[in-house]
Amino acid sequence: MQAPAPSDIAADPGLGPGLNTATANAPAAPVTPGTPAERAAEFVPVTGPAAEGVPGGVLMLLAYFAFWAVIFRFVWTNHRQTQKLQTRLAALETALADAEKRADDGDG
Amino acid sequence: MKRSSPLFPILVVLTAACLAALFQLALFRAPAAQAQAGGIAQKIFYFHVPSAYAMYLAGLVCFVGSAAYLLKLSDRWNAIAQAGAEVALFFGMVVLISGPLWAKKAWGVYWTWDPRLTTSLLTVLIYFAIVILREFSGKGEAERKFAAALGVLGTVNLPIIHYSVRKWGDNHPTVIMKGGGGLGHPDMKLALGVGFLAMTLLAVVLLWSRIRILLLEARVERATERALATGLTEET
Repeated sequence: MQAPAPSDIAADPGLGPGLNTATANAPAAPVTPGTPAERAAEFVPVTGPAAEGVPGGVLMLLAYFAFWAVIFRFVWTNHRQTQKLQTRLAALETALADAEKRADDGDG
Repeated sequence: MKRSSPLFPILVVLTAACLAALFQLALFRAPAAQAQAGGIAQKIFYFHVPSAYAMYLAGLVCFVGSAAYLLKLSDRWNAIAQAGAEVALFFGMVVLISGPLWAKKAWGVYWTWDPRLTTSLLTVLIYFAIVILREFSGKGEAERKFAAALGVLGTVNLPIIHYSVRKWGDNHPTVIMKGGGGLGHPDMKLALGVGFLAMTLLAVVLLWSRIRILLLEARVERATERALATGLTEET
């Protein structure tokens, strides 16, 4: 694939203001944007739209996923707690009934 | 053991159907809004706003239960107060998770300290405090009274949140408030309406199930006290 000309890259709005400014101020001859050396040699901080490119669809799906995760967590915790309490209550009621029976037998 | 009401499973099925309808309508039928409102991320609105309303609803239940417990000191009112706080915390978490994800796209930031966000966070923290207090401070009457008092005071904050936007103004959309432009498409209105219905039903189901569990917990406590009084130990 042929590398794009520096002027094309400088004009591309998707690359953000940082690169536009960098390529506009640089001397014409040594500029080789897009090469591995240029990408790895320096990290330039950017702000504004170029730095905040999270797709809206991803944020929306993340929100819906979080909603379902919170519901399932709540329902699962409730289910486990109910089972645990019912088991404990059944055991206690059986033990109390046995104790009452033993007490009655002892009296008799 | 007490038989559960036949209405509960019907309510659960109805809630699940409404939630499924909400997601079908919001994700596939309602059109995306303008880029300034967040574009496709605006679809978070259809459960974000109804969740905030459900938080108010559960908060109100917590208030009623807490106030009644302070007057009558019964297990039933205590369970209602606790369930209200837990469900309010649940919906509050949904609001606080979904809101920033939408805000990132609409406002460019996840969080800003505007009046509505700040008071919402404060309310969720109050319900979090009530839940933590009830969970870790024991089941004594004094602790229950303190949690009930916190439940009454926490609810006082809810109207402040509601009117904070009108009073102080902020970034929050006012499309469905007085003077707002409304929703520009019938499917948007339908999705929001189903959202309110689904969250109301979900709040009722969650409150009902939590109250049942908390009453069951109270029965276990009473049975444990009786067992200890009879001289039974864990081993026997």
